[in-house]
Amino acid sequence: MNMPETKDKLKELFHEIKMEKPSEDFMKNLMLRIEKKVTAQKKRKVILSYLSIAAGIACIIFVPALIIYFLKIEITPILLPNIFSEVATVFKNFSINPNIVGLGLVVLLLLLGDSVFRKYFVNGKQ
Amino acid sequence: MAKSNDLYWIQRAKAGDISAFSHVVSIYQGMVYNVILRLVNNKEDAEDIMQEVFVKVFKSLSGFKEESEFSTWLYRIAYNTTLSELRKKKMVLYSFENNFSNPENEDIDIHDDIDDVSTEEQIQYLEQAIKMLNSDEALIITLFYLDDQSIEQISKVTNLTIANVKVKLHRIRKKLAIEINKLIEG
Repeated sequence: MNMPETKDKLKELFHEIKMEKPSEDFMKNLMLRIEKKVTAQKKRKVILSYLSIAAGIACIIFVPALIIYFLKIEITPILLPNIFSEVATVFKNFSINPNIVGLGLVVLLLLLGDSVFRKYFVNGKQ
Repeated sequence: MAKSNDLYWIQRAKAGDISAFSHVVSIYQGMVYNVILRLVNNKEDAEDIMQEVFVKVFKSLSGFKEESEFSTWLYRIAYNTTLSELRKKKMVLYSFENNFSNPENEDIDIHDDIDDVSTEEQIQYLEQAIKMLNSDEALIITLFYLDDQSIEQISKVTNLTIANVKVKLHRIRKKLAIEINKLIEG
């Protein structure tokens, strides 16, 4: 654009102008408002997550129930006792070697001890 | 794009860090306040509107794309919020087109006599001349000179075309020169 002289003089003068400042309480009031907003947002998120969990559980229960109800599907309730009796007969004929079980328990205890040691001593020091 | 140091704070604020956001506010509050003040001409109103602006900025910070200038994005929110607050309060924002009646196209410079008066007086003349401008004009010239915003950035803030901003800037500078010259002549 033209008018370089005016522009330069104006620019010079503009940079000499003392900028107005907001009051000292401005920042404090603003941050209080923001914090309130954040707290309200967090509460809303928690409520929403609880509601979505409740809705999910309701769906898990009611959707199959509705499908079963509307399609008139019949469930035979005899299946479970049959499974239990089969498992019981398997365990009756099962022979346990105490040496193998003892070895397994020792390995398990060592693994647990290792993870506890790592958690409380090695990582804790870091 | 925002300055790299500012960008660091902006990114942290985007991640929900409130203290980083307060840092961003402290960087930009001065300029935003002056931009709003040019539009509303009242310190209390300007402060109230600025609170609204920064609350909006905090809410919509996730929508800020870092390829654009943060200050331009911020001033655009400030400008739009100010306009809607003025509409709510039924205050009048003087439109540039309605008030300017100087169709002559020749350039007018500030008299060289201005160098004979003290800097304080020069600033006083400029401030008086700015008061003669309407809100839109005062905003455009403030963004252009006080914050060194480019014509493209001003067009984004005010939603005007680049050509329109150029014409307006030319007219505003001429208007300021006329007013300052009048004051020099006394």
